[in-house]
Parts: sequence; structure tokens; C-alpha cells
Amino acid sequence: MQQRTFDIVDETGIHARPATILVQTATRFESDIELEYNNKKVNLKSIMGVMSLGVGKGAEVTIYTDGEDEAEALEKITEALKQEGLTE
Amino acid sequence: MTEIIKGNRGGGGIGFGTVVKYQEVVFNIDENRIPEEEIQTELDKLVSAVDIARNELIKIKERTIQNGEYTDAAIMEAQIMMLDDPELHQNIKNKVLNLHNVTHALYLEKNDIIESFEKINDAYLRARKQDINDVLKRVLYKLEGHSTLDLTELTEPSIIVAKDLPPSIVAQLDKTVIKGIVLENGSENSHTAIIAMSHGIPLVSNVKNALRMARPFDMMIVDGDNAEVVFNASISDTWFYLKKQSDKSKASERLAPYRSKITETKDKKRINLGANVSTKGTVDESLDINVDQVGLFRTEFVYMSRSNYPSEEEQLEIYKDVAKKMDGKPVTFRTLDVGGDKYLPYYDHDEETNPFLGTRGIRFSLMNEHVFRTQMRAFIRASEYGDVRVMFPMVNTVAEFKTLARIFAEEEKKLGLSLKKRIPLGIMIETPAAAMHAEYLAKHADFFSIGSNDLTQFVMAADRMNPNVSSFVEILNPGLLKLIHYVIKCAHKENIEVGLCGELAHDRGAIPILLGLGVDSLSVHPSHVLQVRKFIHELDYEKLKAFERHIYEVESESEMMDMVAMVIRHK
Repeated sequence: MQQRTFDIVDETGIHARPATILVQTATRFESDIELEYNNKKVNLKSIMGVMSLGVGKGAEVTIYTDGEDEAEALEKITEALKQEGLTE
Repeated sequence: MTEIIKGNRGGGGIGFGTVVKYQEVVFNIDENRIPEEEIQTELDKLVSAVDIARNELIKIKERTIQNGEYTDAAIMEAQIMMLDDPELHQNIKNKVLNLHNVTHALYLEKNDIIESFEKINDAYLRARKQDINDVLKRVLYKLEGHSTLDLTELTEPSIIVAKDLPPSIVAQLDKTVIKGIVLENGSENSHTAIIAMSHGIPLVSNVKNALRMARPFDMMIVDGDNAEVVFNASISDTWFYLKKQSDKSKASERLAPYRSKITETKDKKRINLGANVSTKGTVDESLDINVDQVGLFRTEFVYMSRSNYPSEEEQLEIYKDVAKKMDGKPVTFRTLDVGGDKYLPYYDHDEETNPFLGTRGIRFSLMNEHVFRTQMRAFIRASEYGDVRVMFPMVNTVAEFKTLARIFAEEEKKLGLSLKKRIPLGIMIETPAAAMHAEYLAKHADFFSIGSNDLTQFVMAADRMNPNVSSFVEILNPGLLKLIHYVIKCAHKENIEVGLCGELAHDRGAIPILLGLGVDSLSVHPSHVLQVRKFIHELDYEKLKAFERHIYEVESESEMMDMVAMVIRHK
């Protein structure tokens, strides 16, 4: 299992559009992928799970990947977070 | 058998079409235990319902892309993802394995998700529960074998019969297909009615039992001018109303010579007559009839028929287009004015017991400052293309105005454009507090515009939308007129202009009084412009001055009406 922690810097946090992109990215991998915020973990392949966390600006989130392609998954998700302007 | 029912007048004109009922289906979602051998059948039912729902959403998404509505397309994409959410499927499956029938399982899951969304702090994400509701309801409909009626998919001339229609749905209707709207609730002044009118769709509201009486595919006639609905219309009814329609077009021929005329009284006093508009289409219509300005551009419709806030660029495109089209004539943009009966489909508005005295106008803007700032930036940038003015709704105090003006100045500074002229900032005088304190507000604002609809209902303390008390709203009440006179005097003392936009501006009783009291401009819906202009051409301006005294000499609205009749008839 791999994990990495991020600070969310975007004004509006993880809103509908970035949530869509994150879930689309996660869905491409076999690994189990989870997003943790405020001591709550959700499946990153679940759009409703991700949105229900209500991640806002200044939040600290952790991504966990677990499975055969866990390393690549974590890399791609890191990239997506950055591309969406969620992290620096 | 034909039946004619009276309602309240809504949009103008007469429409013919077949009945389409628009109503929410009420499900009977009782807990229904299934035997173990039916588990697989239930799960299969879910798969096929989701498949049909997904195909529908893909179709809607493709249509939004074709129309260039990319924000809407993104939301449809998010809805499709919700439909395929693995957690959702797992949770429903678990419930079915526990012998719930699938409809009930989905219903329980829907409530769970919505409950968890209601706990989110972020208002925008919390409002996404509407999307979830939308998606899961679509699946529920499929499971129960109902089709989801999408009014934008209709192709034959249709009359929509509904209990009520939200303004956001009306805004999307195509007037070449939707020939009329009949509502059981609502009132002639609702925003649903205003949008229907600006789209040219006949509407009659407050038609009791319309849904029960209307049968799908019956021929129906909606006469928005006379507030009549003909249920199950016969051929002879159709002929009769076609004749009425042609008489009406004859009346508009009589107004035709006024299309290009300027607005002035018989004794050549030039009057500034503007149009109230909310869409680009009504701007074109106003230009055709030679209006002096857009006295009120209601920007809320820029925000309403969509699924997320319009960006600065999207707003700029619209405002710029309007400013350019008006070619140097003033355009007064009113800042976003939601609340009351207007809601944003993507914002989680609190339920308020008295929404007209609630989070409306600038109160909403100051609570959602980033939304307000985006709009200010779009106005400032649009001002490079014409005479742009900005007006704030629901201002009560000097302090409120100063806050708004400060935010505006901050955005102006940030943009750093070198503007040729200052953008005038005005106050919509629509609360008694603002009207009674006009003396001081006038020292700060660049102009006033009296919003007579709200001012009237607040002064009379009677809801203009409520048919039970709408007769208590006296538009020529002497008290109200004195208040308006005070506002005008205060504005002129500080050398600022004061216009009036609202129903009063097209009322034949009110126009002579308002002109007599010295109002600088009137702004009316484009469909009223020619009648108002023709009426002004018949008035003698010098005689109207007498109203400055008369409004203090009458005891009642009816005496006021008699006074108007006497003054304008007196040669």
C-alpha cells in the first residue's frame, strides 16, 4: 500500500468538476484507492463519496492506493490534483 | 365537452396546442420484502433501469454540447458518473441481499445519501444533492416504468398544464413548440409569468383543478390577454379565438405608427421611455420600437436556467452584447436579485417562512461575495462597449450602499482598465426604509430607480402574488404616491435622476401622476412600450404639474382615479 498527503489550495476545494476528474482518473486503475479527510475515508472511485466529504480550501487530504498498479495510480492522481489546481 | 375557465392574466397572446401534463409522479414506496429466489430478478431490474437512464443522460449531454452549454454538459457528465457509482451499486445490492425489493432499496439509499450531503458545510457541494435527487429519481421512474417527461423534447404544438413551473424550467422552453402554459397556482406577477411573457408564451395562472380537468392530447386554447383557458376546445372555439387573434393584430397595427416615433407629450415635452428586459431577444425587440434606454436589465435570468454560476467571461459576453446593441443608449444592469420567488437551481437556498422579506437582492450578494464580485467585474469590462450603469436591489441604508460601492471600486482597481468614464452606481428604491431615507441615499448614489412592484406591496403590506389579498394592493394609494413624490424631490435636490420601473410605469392612471411629479424616466416591458408612448402623446404636460398638489388633497385611491380622469380630460 502507498499513501501521500496533500494540502488543498484551490479557492473552492474539491468541487464537482475536479471531483469528476479525480474519480475518472482513479477508475482507470485496478487498485483500491481511498481518499481520507477529517478522519473519514471514502472510495475515490465513488463520485458521491468524494463530493460528500465537502473538502474545502486549506484541507489536508491523504490518498491511499493498494493493489498491483498502486505506484502508477498514486502518480497519476498526484498529477491530476495538480492539473486541476487543487494542490501546488 | 368544451369548458372555459378563468384564471389570472399572465403572458400575452393566444396559443393553441394539445395538452401535456407536467406533474411529479408520487410513488408508493412501501417496504416490500422479497423471497430469496427473486434477488437476481431484482438486481437485473436495476441494471436495465440504470442502462436506460444512462442512455437518456448521454442524449441530454450531447444536446447541451451541440448548444455550446459546456457547464451543463459537465454536470450531465457528473450525473452519469453518479449513476455508475460503485458504492451506490454495492449499497443497493446489500439491501437487496437483505431481501428489500430494489425500488425500496434505491429509495432508502437515496435518502441516506441526501442526508449525508445535508451535513456538508460547503453550500455549493450541499446543493449537489439536487443532482443526486435528479439522477436517482430518474432511475426510480425507470424501475416503475414511468417515462421522465422532458419538456424540451416535445416537438408538437403543446400547452403545458402544471400545478406550478419553476422559472428555470420556463426559461428553457422553446416558444415554437410550447404554445401556452396553464398553472393551478401562481399569479400574474410571478417570475414564471414574467419569463413566459418575455419568451412570448401565453400563460394563465390560478386555474383551479386544471390538472384534473385537462386530458392528455385534448386540444386546448390559452388566451393570456383575457386570462381564459378553453379545455377540450372544439373547431368552432378555435375559429372564435383565431378571430380574436386577428383583431388583436389589427390593434397592434394601430400602434404601428408609434414604432419609430420619439416619446413626447402633446405639448412637445420629451419623455424618456425605456424597456425592462431580461434576455438578449427582448433587447432586439426594444430596439425595433425605438426605446431611449434599457431602464432595467434583470440579470438573474443569466444565472437561472443553468446548473452552475455563469463565469465572468460568460457574463461579459451577454452584457457586452447588450451594451453594444444599444449603441450608446444607457443600459442599467440590476445586480443579481434572487430570493423571493426566484431561486438558483444550483444553490442551497434556506427555506424561509417569509422569503420576500428574506435573503433577497444585495442580501444574497453580500452573503456570497465572490459571486457578486464576479458580476461586478463583468459589468466593469462590459462598460467599454457602451453606456453601462449598475443598480443595486433591496438597499435599505447608506451603509449598505457604501459597502457595495467599495467592493465595486476594489474590483475596478484590480482590473486596472483605463475607463473613459465613471460607471454610475444607483439604488433601486423598493423598500419603505430606502424611500423614507431617500434624502441621504441621494447624497451617495448616482441615480435612483423606483421599483414600484415591491415598494407597493411593502407599503400596502399585502402580497401582490396572493390572489386573496391582491385587491388590498392599491397602486394609486395617496400614501404611496406621496412617498414616491418624496423620493423624486430628494433625488432632484441632489441633482440625480430618478426613474421608475415596475407595473406602475405602464398604468394609464399612474403615468400622468408620475410625469406630473417629475419622474425622469419610465421603463416598461417592451410589449407595453407602444401603448405607453401613444398614451403619452395624448397628454398635456403642463396640466400634469397639478398632481404635485392633488396627491395631497385626496382621501382615497378612488378619489385619486377621479382626479386623474378629470385632469387628463380637461381641455
